Amino acid sequence: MAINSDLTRGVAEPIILKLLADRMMYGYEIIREVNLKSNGEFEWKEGSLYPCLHKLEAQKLIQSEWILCGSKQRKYYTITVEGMRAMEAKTEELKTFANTLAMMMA
Amino acid sequence: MNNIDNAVETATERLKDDYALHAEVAAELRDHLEESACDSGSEEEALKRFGEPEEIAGQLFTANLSRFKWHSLARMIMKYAALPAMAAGLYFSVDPDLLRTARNFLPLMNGRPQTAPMPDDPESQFLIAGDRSRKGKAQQLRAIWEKYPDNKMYMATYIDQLLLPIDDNAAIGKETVEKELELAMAVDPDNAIFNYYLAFIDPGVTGDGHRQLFVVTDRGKLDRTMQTLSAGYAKPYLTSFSKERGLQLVELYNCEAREKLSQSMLYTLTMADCPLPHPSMFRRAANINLLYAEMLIDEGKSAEALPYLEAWKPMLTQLNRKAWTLIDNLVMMTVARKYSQQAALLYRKAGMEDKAAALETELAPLIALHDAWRVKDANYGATIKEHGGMMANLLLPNLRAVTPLTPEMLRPECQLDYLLVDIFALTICAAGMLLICAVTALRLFFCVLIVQRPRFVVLPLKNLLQIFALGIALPLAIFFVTSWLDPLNWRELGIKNEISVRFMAFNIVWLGFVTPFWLMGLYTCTTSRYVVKLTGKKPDTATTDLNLLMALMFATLLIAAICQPMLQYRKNRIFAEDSVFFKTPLGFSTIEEEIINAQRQVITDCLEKTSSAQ
Repeated sequence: MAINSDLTRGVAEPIILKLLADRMMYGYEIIREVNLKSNGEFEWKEGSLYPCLHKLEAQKLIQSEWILCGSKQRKYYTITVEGMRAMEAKTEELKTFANTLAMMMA
Repeated sequence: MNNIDNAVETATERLKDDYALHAEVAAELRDHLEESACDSGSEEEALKRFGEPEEIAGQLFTANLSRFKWHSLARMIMKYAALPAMAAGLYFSVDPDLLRTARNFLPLMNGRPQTAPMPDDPESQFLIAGDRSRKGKAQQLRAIWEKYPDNKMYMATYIDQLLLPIDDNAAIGKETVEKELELAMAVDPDNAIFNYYLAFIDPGVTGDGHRQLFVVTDRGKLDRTMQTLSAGYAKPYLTSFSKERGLQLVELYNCEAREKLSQSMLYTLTMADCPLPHPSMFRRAANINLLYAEMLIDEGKSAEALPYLEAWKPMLTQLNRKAWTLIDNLVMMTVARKYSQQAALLYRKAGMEDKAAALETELAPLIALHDAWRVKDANYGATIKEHGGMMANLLLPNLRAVTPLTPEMLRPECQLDYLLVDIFALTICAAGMLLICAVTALRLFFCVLIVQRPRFVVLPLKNLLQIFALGIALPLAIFFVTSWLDPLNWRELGIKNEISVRFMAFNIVWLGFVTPFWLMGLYTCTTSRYVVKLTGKKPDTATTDLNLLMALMFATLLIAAICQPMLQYRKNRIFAEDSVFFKTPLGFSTIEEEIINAQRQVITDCLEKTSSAQ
């Protein structure tokens, strides 16, 4: 069963930061990775990824650069040191939230 | 436009005001959708996964607001400050004092000096223009003499005006003029000028050229003319009081203070507006003396001819006593040359070989002086001869033959015209910018009419600095280096080859014409390259024009802001240090006054030697 997009919206930022902590990625690659890792359970509207990426970039948690891939330019994102710190904090926060939610729903 | 383009266009609609941001986000979304369409096998599926473009447009706008704010601030500044910047740039580029200077200088150089603005004081107005209720300028000036009947200067000023061959004086009868001249001779009995005036009212001969071309029409009248002239030769001086009148007018017009270019020019033009000696009158006197002497020799009255053959001595002595302009000197040299050529022949005709040889020896220094003056360039000759030269640079070709000119004397800080050219170049530059702006605005207007939407392109700081360095700083540096530091030593070349004029033209062309177009080209190319880098397409004409318009407006202010303080500094230095133009007693250039004095020294020495030999 695919998870409703309203539920996934709040966790989009920590997920993006987590993915970018492993390696630099471009937008579509992030979507592919999320689908792969969530077995297609996360039902993201792909277009809403970009406002999220731009917001993180404006907060200086990630940074971007255009890289030539074959014949086309592609915008790749990497996590910043500040972004790593934010990711750790958000992951802790999410874990607490998940545990609390599991306890409440048990 | 396909579905993907439509979706991208809709999603990025709200970012359109920021050219760079819009292009970047659009490229990113397009890349995503194309890859997604490729993976899913259809555009429809990719667009379905992408979500509603309208909804994403709002999210993208919110996410990019911080970046967007900075750019929109820059755009807002450009929108609202560009026009005032251009207005301020134009204001600072145009030096009002230069315009006043040009207004005074140009008529002066064309030989039609304009008078300074009339003072408010009624007595000063009267002393300048006389009684303006009277008909005719001569009668107006006569009123001053009537009020001050013992004043020789007012009388001479009136007589000079009375004798001018103008319509105003056409109705005045010969008898009236003769009566006035006799009255003048009674008031100023030592001044020979009225004898000359009186003698030539009806001299009994026709013609004005070479003595052989004179035709005696009335021998009786000619005898009377020669008596009048002879009586004049016995007088101590000859003057129309032009110098005294000039200095008085300077005081009355209140233009003694020469703190500004325009005021200084006003001083010069007021002095130049004074009646100068009439060269043709003295040439005629010399001719008529020689003609009369020849007639007497032919009649066997050689002894009676002698005073007329020697008349050059009293003529030059009288003139020299009151000489103060280059024209005075040239008149004396011309009279000397005429006598040297023709009186010697007449002496020999009368069998007075020793006197002929003595005359040639006596006049030799003046002939040499005249020869030196006549070594001149064809382009300058007429102007200099006519006006005597008001600016040192205009006199260059002639001056080099008379006085040693050094590059030091032609330093920009000593040369007003260098500064005038630079100020003029800045004015043309601003006008050029304005012209390009006007043409660009017109083209932009038509582009908007054909539904092109112009967009601002905020160039990266690196590009802006590049444009400033290459488009503004570099041309200005070249301009100031060539005009101020003179690395190629063009000023020295200027003395030899008059290249300085071409050099000045270079400065006007460089700053006035090349710089605006160079800047325009540079800015357009940089913007176009930047847009191509962002979008892969060249910007449309409307976008190019809008951005060029804004850039040129700011550039005008920037150029004025850089140039004006430098030109003001030079202007102040000229007033503080210049001894070529501003510190001169009479308002001509120092070099011109040096020449006048040097020539007068030669003439005085020559005349003193002659009188001591006698």
